[in-house]
Parts: sequence; structure tokens; C-alpha cells
Amino acid sequence: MTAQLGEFLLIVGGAGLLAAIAAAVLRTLATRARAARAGLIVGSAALLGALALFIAAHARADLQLAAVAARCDASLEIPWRIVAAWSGGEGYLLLWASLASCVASAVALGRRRVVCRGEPITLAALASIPLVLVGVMLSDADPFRTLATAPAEGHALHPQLRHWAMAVHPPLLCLGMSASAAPFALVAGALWARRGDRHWVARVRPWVILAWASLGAGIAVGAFWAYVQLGWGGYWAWDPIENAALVPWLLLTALLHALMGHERRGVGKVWTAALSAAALTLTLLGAAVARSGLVQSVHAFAAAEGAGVLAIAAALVAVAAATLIIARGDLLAPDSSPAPAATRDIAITIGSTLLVGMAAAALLGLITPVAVRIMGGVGLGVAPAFYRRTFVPAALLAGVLMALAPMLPAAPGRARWRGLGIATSAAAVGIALAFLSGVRHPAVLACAAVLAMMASLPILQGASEVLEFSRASGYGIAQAALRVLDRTRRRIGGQIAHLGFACVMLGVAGSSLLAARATAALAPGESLTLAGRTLRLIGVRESRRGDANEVRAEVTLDGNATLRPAQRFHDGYDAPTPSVALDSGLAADLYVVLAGWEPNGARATIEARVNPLVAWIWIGAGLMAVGGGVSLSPRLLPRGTPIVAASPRAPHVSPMPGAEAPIPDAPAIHARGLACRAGGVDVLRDASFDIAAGTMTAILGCNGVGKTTLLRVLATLARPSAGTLRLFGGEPEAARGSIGLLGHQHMLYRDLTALENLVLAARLHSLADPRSRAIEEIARFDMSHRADERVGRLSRGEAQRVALARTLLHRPRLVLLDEPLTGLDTEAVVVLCETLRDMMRRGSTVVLTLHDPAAARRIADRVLVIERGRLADAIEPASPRSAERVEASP
Amino acid sequence: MSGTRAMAILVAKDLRIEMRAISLAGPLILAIIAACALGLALPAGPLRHGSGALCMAVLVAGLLSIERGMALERQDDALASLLLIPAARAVLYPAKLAACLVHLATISLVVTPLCIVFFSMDLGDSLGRVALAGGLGLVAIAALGTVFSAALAGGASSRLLPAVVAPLLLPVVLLVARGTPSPGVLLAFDAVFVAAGWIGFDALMEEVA
Amino acid sequence: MTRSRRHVARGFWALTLASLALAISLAVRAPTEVSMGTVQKVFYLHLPVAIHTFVAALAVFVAGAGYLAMRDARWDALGHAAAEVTLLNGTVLLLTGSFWARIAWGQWWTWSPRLTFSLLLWLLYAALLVVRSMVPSPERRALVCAIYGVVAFLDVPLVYLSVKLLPDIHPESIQLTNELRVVLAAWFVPITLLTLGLIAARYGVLRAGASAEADRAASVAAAGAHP
Repeated sequence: MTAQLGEFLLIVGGAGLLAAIAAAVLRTLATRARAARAGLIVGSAALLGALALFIAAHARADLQLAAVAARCDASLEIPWRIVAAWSGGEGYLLLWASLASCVASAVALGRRRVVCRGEPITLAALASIPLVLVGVMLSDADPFRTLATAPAEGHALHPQLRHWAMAVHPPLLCLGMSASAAPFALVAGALWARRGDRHWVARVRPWVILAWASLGAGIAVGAFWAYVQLGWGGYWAWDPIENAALVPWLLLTALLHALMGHERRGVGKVWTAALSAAALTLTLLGAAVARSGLVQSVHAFAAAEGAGVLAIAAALVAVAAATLIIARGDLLAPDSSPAPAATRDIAITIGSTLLVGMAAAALLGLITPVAVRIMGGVGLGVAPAFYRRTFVPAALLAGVLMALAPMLPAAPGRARWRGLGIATSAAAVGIALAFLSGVRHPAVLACAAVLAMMASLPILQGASEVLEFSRASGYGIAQAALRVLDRTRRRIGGQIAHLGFACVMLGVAGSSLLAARATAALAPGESLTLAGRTLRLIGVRESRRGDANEVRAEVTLDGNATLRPAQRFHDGYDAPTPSVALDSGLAADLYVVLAGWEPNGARATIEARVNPLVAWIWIGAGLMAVGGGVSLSPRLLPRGTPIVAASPRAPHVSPMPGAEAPIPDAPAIHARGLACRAGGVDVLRDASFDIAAGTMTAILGCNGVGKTTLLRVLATLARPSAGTLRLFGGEPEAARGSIGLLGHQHMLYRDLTALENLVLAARLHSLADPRSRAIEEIARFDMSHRADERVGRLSRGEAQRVALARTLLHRPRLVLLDEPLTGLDTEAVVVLCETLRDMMRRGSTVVLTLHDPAAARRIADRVLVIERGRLADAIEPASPRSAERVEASP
Repeated sequence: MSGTRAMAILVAKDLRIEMRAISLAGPLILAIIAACALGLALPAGPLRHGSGALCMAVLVAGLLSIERGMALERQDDALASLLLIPAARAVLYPAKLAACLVHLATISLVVTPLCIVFFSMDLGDSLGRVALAGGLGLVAIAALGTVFSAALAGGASSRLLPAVVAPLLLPVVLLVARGTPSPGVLLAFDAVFVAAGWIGFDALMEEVA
Repeated sequence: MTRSRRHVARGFWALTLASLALAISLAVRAPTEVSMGTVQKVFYLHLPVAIHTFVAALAVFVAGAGYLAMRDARWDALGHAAAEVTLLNGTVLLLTGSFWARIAWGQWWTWSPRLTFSLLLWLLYAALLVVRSMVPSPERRALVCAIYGVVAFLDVPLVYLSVKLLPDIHPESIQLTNELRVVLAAWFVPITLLTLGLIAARYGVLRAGASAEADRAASVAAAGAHP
């Protein structure tokens, strides 16, 4: 029943895909698009259904299906049954076909509203790959093929595949391979329909990142599996099938970087188109080689039918791409006058070239044995030395360029390298740390330097950006950091990925160059020393575990921890499966394998390796995946309005993004429903008032009624407990730099002299020539003779004068004075009033608190009174200066 | 004005005030007395005694000096004038942190040789590592001390600073005194403390009226 | 409290008492573990209380973060209640641990990692409550305690890592058969209910007190506005 349903779904899937392709020839554009989308959705749904059925059949151990019987058994635990589903050729094809059709549907549904002329071609191209796979499945590699009689027991999954890494490795690789079809399909569609590159360049990037991240993660997981399961102590053997996945990944990385140049300067379009095509071609070719059985590999598990078809498909893609690029070459010409190349662009181009070079080297390693076999020769492989000579220098050079890139000038003409000091000190710290940990090899030290630079430069650049933003907008640090992070997700993703690559470089360098090995046949009680660590054999024991006979050695490490390397003989498999004992650390991994033993337990051969810095490879791979994820992540915070340039009339105000832009003729202070508390008690409730610019307002009230609190709220030092406050039409925080406050206390540093206090304020306000401004201001308030006296030694009145000088030093637009006349003699009062009048003529607003109503009426344009928690204009006999009677707000 | 420049100005101001007010004298003397008293009371043998005494002396004296530094800032409400300047407000926490670090480093530089002598401490070739761990410990003390001294400012509660911050810092003392093998843990926690301290400090600087 | 709430509260405490009774009876009747003897039964109380000390500490963290984000006094009340319950749990943890150490290994106190960890944790939250009582202004107090609550919780892993270095003289692993696992699970229920219930109860009391304060202040102000 399952089998029939599965076959049916496969056929339906194929039909849907075929319909999607056929839709390309329909008459109207709209019909074409709709039909293609419909076909794709039906096809994907059917294929996903088939996949689900297939997995369920495995989970149930339905031995009627040949595929299940070959890999699954009732004795196998459920997680491994599911892994078995895609460990075989048919399951892998089904997984790939489902994911490819999902990718196609995602591309189709992604732009439902916009219908582009090239879209049907794109969808047809995307649909043809899963269609080919379905064809292969229906003809040769049917996942739902049934056996005439169901066997009593199945053949359990190979023990080495029973690892969590095998649960994610195939899906990740399939996802990567599927997603790598999208860029080429988009390019092809646009080129065919004669559309310019702006139709595809922005759409391509997310798919490239997805493919890159999935392939990279899949490769890393595969390497990890090889490391912990296979028992030979390494993680990468330059296996042709491993190369088959590595080549497209390198090409995708090159494509990512080429896209940057393409988007920014409009050059290298042929490059990006060619790389997209190459990525897909080599994906298909790699899969063909892997399934061809022409190469010897540990990955021969997945050898199956379909190689020829896939190879033909790869050739077709290559031919189609070449034709399109040549025929539509004019669309891919560089922009008429591209921006000149900056040093950083050149570095990126060199890096991409290096990546392509590495891909070519890996491709050579992949093709050579296949070509030799095809031509009848004996199996010939490419020696690892070849890769060492080509790959390593290229990778090192690429790594150095990557580390230098943030420092290079991004625009031509700017010759200075930013952040050179930080980079060199970080590199020095990295080398020092590595040196202190015992590393002496220059290549590893170089990698440590690169890692330190990649770790420090972006963080420091980001931190300075956050500080800058926080200052300009008035947001607190946490809020500013969130907003900056949200806005620069792409860049941060790239930086994280680069950091990951630097970690991987360090790990690979350390484990390749500094590895040590020792093998010894030990009797119980004897020990083996390697790189300062002692392994002592306790004994060898045989036991039965699950479905395997296990021979286990107990080994103590340095006297405390116990490692248990073992060999397991699973039922139904002749060769033993090693169980590696691993002691992992950031500095080095200790890898212990039981290589041999004597039957009576007298001696055991223990093979130990020390692989330094291996953990960094996995950390780096994880970081690269995270970086990809961050680049793809959607925007967290709602888009704010961009920062507008300050208008000539408002030199100090820069509005925050997301806030309303300031209204040019807004009152200086606008308060609605303001409520303030002091010491837990409401001192002001529901105050609403507007204060116009260029006026002087006095606030009267008894002691303790809340004048000081209100002033502090207006100065943005305290937040009101309720109500809204606008300064100069914008948020209060944005106006901070243009406020001057004279408080109850003089707010000066007692231990600094008067002049030093003023110079400090002038420098922090970024005034030109701070020292002379300070001297000038002190002279204005007639304190020059006491300028070099510590503020602690000044009298109350003298301190008040210095405080006034500090308040008005930067000619603030809003001047808030709390009892300014205290302690001042008449001369000083006159100077103060003159200065204030002068500033008011230039547009400054003054608000002061007084306790003398007569003085208030004499000097102020408007008088407000706070009484019993309410603020209102003072009621007074008519005078030329008083404001109109205003009803107290409710 | 760039953040680093504003920070430099503020740190220079703090150091200048320090030289005039010499508020470091009290804590220094306290640290020396603590080192002497512990040196008299404890036998010199185990390295732990010396490092423990050193850590305690630096911790208590350091927190005291941080508290005094913040008190100087709060005198006459001078802090408010800095809060009004956006360039200064954004870097206020790092500037205070740097100034506190200078104080702590001074105390450490004075007390460490004393303890090495009193307790006949033999650091051997792990000197670099110990110095690194000690430095990271100082950063942790400064990070938490700055934010909590700002939190507890005013009157009686400010005397509580050592009592409040010490429980949070005891694990740091443990790690440093026992000679932790990897400074990575301390570095991670310094990052957490500085980040939490910065956000908390910014939150504290906004009164709610 | 409204009537329905009172019923819910009563039902809740009844359920707690019942589960506690069940747990105690199960513990008494459970077979004695071979290696340690009768005192091992203290473990049934010790482990759930340890877990719930963390849970309450996590609640303090969440309350602190909530207050810093929203500046609402209710988060502060939650933090206060959770801190008190953390301290209570921590005290029980220390006492049971010390008691166990005495019976099993002959000393009331030893600087082993677990005990030191519990002590440091206790100190952290005791300091939080001390700080609470020392800051006069309510908004400032809430802010300071929120920051402290957040930093204290972030400190917990550091405490754990630092005490790992201490010499662990006594290995403390216990093998539990399936029966004993059931007893342990049975003890988790009342301790969980107690922790959550105490936090909720204290929260209610604090909020009631706060709203009474607010009413009083409002009536004073209203009286002042209309002389």
C-alpha cells in the first residue's frame, strides 16, 4: 500500500514539474506564471509527501520495500532508521528532488505580485532538475520498489553511519545543492528574456548565502563524522567525493564576493553569471561522479544509479550558460562609467580569483581519477602533496587578504588605512597568546595573528559606530546597539563568517602542522607518553553491547580521567567498527584508538594522536553557519525615518531615526500632561504649557514645591513620570547638547580650579580653542583674578559666577537657571542679564526659577507659578510685560 | 568629537582630581594594613594564603577607593554637568571604569610586592599567567564597583558598597587566588560584567522624577 | 482578595499540603539506599530545593530585566518576592546540605564545591535583600535591585566554574533505582508548588501594600488640592 502510494506521489510530482516546465510555452505571460507556480506547488507537495512516506516506512521498518530491507531492521533504534532513509541512493535522490522542488516553489512564490518576463524560464530551469531526478528514480532507482516476499529481518544500517552527524549531513548537502540551482536559474531567466541585471542581482544573493551556508555546514558535519567515527585520526582525506562538495562551495564563496563588486560598482557581471552557472554545473557533476562508482571512497555508501544522467545534465547546464552569456553578452557589459576601484575592491577580486583557483585544483583532483578510469587505466589518485602545494598557499594568501580587508580604504583616494594600530596590537596579542600556549610554528602563529585581527577589528569598529550613533541620536547604549546591529546585519553576518574562516584556518594549521603520533603495544599497567600526556593501560575487556560484541580497553589519562577506546563487531558485519576515545580541548585533542589486542588480554596496541587546535575547526564552521544565518535574517525593528540633515536654523538638533522630524517653528518647550515626582510624592500633576523661543520665563513658587524638579525634567536629567515633553519640536534627548543648566549646587569639581572646570566643559562641548573661550567667559563674569583658585576655596557667590560661566559657555539654545540671583552682587546680576538678553536676541530661550515675585516681573517676559502641584500663569495686575490671563489647565 | 577623545578627557580629569584630593591614601593604607595583619596571622607556607590575602586586600581597598571616587563625583552634583553633554554621557561608564582601573592598578602595584615578601610567595614561571588573571580580576572589580557605587550613591547606603559587591566578586577572587589555568573564563565574565554594568549605569543615570 | 481568588488560593495550599504529605510518606516508606543509610533520604528534599533555588533566582533575573525594560513597579514587586523565596530555598539547601555532611562524613562544614557554591549563592541573595532595605527612594531602590538581580544571576555560572576548582574530597554521586526515582519525582511536586505559591503570595502582599500606599498618597494630595 505504501509502495503504491509512494509511486503515485512520485508520478504526480513529476507531472507537476513537467507542467511547470511546459507552462513556459503558453501564450500570455500571466497564464504562464500562474501555471508554472501551480505546477511547482503541486509537484513539491507530492514529492514532499513521497519523502514523508519513505521516511515513515523506514521508521516502521516496513521490510516490504527493498530500500528499507537493505538498511533497516526492527532491531535498529528509531533515530538510526530515519538516518537509514537517506543513507541509500534512492532515499538520497528523493531527498534531493523534494528539496529542489521546494526551492523552486520558494522562488516562484517569493515574487507573487511581480511577474517578470524571464520568470517562467527561471521556474522551468528550476523545475527541470527535480524532474530529472524523478525520472532517474522512476526508471532505475525506485525508492518504493517492493520485494516479492518481505524478508524476516532486514540488514541493519552500517554501524559507522549510526551517528547524529549522519542525520544532518545529507539533508544539509541536499539543501545546499538545491539552493545552488537558484542563482543560475534567475540569471538564465533574465538573460533569456533580455532583462538587465538589476532584475536578478539582488534576488540571487539570499540563495547564494543559503546554498553556501548549507553546503559549508554539510561539509563540516561530514568532516566531523569522519573524525570521530572512522578512527584514522584525521577529518579530511582529499577524497574525490569530498572534493565534489568542496568545489561548488568554493565557487559559491567566490560568487558571494564577486556579487559585492557587481552590486557596488557594476563591474564583473560576466564573472557573477559564469560563477553561478559553474556552481550548479559542478554540483551536478560532483553528484554524478559520486554516484558513478568510478572512485574509491569511504563515501561509496551513496553509490547508485543516475550518474550518467546527472553528468549529461551538468553538461547541458554548462552549454546553456555559455550560450546565454555569449549571446546576451551586451547585457552583461560593465556599467558605462563604473566607479573607480578602491584598494579594498582589488583585494576582494584577488580573493575571488584565489578561491576559483582553489576550486580548480580541487576539481582536478576530482576529475583525474575518473578520467583515468574511463580511459581504461588503473585507479589513479592525486597525492595529498598536490593539494598541499596548491591549496595551502592560496588559502593562506586569501586569509591574509581577508584579515587586511577591513582596514583597506573602501573608496579610492583615501589612502589611510583605518584601524592599523588596533590590528597590529591585536595581531601581537594573538601571537603572544599562541606563543605562551607553547606554539612555535610560524604558520600557526600567523593564523593566530589573523584570528586575533578578525576578532578585534570588527568589534572595535562596531563599538565606535554604536557610540557615534548613541551620541547623535540620544538613545542609551543598549538601544543604540540594538539599532545599529539591526541595520548592519549583512555586514555583521559577513564578519562572523570571516571570523569562522579564520578559526578554521587556525584549526587546520594546528592539526596539520603540529600533530604528534605514538603507537605502542602495552601490557596492563604500562604507559605511553605523548606530548606531555600519559596514557596508562588498565586492562582489556570483552562484552556484549546491543547488537555488537565489544572489545574495550580502559586507559587512564594523566592519572585522573578514563578513556575507553573500543572495537565493535556488529552482527552482520565482518569488519570491526572502531569506537574512538576522544579528550577534546581548545588547545588540543587527544585521540586514542585500540589498534589491536591479544586474545587473552595480555597486551593491547594503543594508538594515540595529539591533534592540536582541532576544536577550532568545528567552532569556525559553526561561526560560518551563524554568519550566514545572520545575513539572511529579517529586520527585527521597524524601519525608522533616516536621519535628516540639520537645517540652518537648528544647528544643534539631530533627530533620532524613528522620531518625527522637528517642526521648524515649534515652540522651544512643549509640555502636555507633565507629571513629576520627588521623593515618592507627586509635586506636579498634569502640567501643560508652551514656551516660545527667544523668551524669558520665570517660575515662582514656595520652597520645596517642585521648581527644581521641573527644571531637572526640562533639562532631560530626569524623566517625567507622565506626559509628553518636546524640546525644539523633537525628543528631549536629542536636544541635550544645546541645554545649559545652573542647578542648586554649582555642579563644578571642587578639586579643580575655576579655569580647569571651564576648559573641561569647553573641550567636551567641542568648542574651538577651548582655553581661550574659557578665559574669555571667566573674564566676562569678572572672575579672572580667581581663575586659578580651586573651586572648593571660592565663596558661594564666586562659585555661582563660575557656574554661570560654565552654563553659558557653549551658548546653549535653552538656558535653565535655578535661583540664579543667589549670592550675586548687583554688578554680576547686570552682567548676567545683559548676557542673557544677548543670547535671547540670537534665539535662545531662558527659563529661571526665582522666589522674589517682584524681580520675576521685572526681568521676565512671562511668569508661571507652581502651587499645590499645579502650574499656571501668574495672575497679576496688568503690566506691559505680563502675559494674558490663561485658565489653569484642568 | 570621537568617543575615545571624550574618554581621554574624562579620565584625565579623574586622575587630576585624584592627584589633588589624594583620596587613594586611605584605601592604600587600609590595604597595607590588611596585608600586614594577614601576614602576621597566617603561616607563610601555602601559596594560597598569600594570594588569598592579596586578593582580599585589593578587593576591599579597591572598592573603598571606587566608592570615594564616586562620592567626589556626586559632590556638588558635578555629575549632572557631565550628563548634559552628549559626548561625555555616551562614554561616561567606560571613562569611570578606566579611572577605577587606574586606582585598582595602583593599589595592586603597591600591595603585591608586599604580599610576595610577607608570604614568601614563589610564582615561578607562571608569573605572566597570574598577572593576566589578576588584571582580568581587576577589570571585574572595576566594572561592578562602578555601577554599584553609582547605584548606591547618597548618604548611608554608599558605605555598603563592599558588602553589596563582594558576594558578586567572590567567585572572581576564588578563581584568581587559586590560580585558574585558563583566563578565558575570566575574560568571558569580564565581558558580561562590563556589558551589564554599562547598561545598568546608563539606566541609573536617568532619574525618574 | 476577591472570593474566587480566595478559593483558588485555598485549593492551591490544600493541594500543596496534600502532595507534601504524600511525599513524606513515600520517603519514609522507601527502601534505604545501600551505601549511605537513612540519612540519604534528606536528598529527596535537598535536590528539589536546589533546583528551585535556581528557579527563583531565574525569576529574580526575569523580574529585574522586566523592570529595566518597562519601569513598572509590578516587576519590582515580583523581584522582591522571588528574592525572598530564593533566600528561603537557599537557607533550606544549606541546612540540609550541612546536616547531610555531618551525618555522612562527620563534619558540619567542608569547603567542597557544592557546599561552597550554595553558600556563595546564599550570600548573593542575602546581599540583595540588604540592599533593598538600604535605599530610601522607591524608584531608585527598584532600579538598583533590578540591576543587582540581573548581575547576580549572570554571576551564577561564574560561581559554579570557580568552585569546580576546589578540591572535592567527597564524591557525591548517588545511584537511584527506579523506585527511588519515583519518590524523588514525588518530592518535586510539593517543592515546586511551595516555591511558586510563596512567590505569588508575597507578590500579592507587596502589591496590596503598594496600592494602599498609593491610595493614601493620592488622598493626601487630593486633600491638599482642595483646602
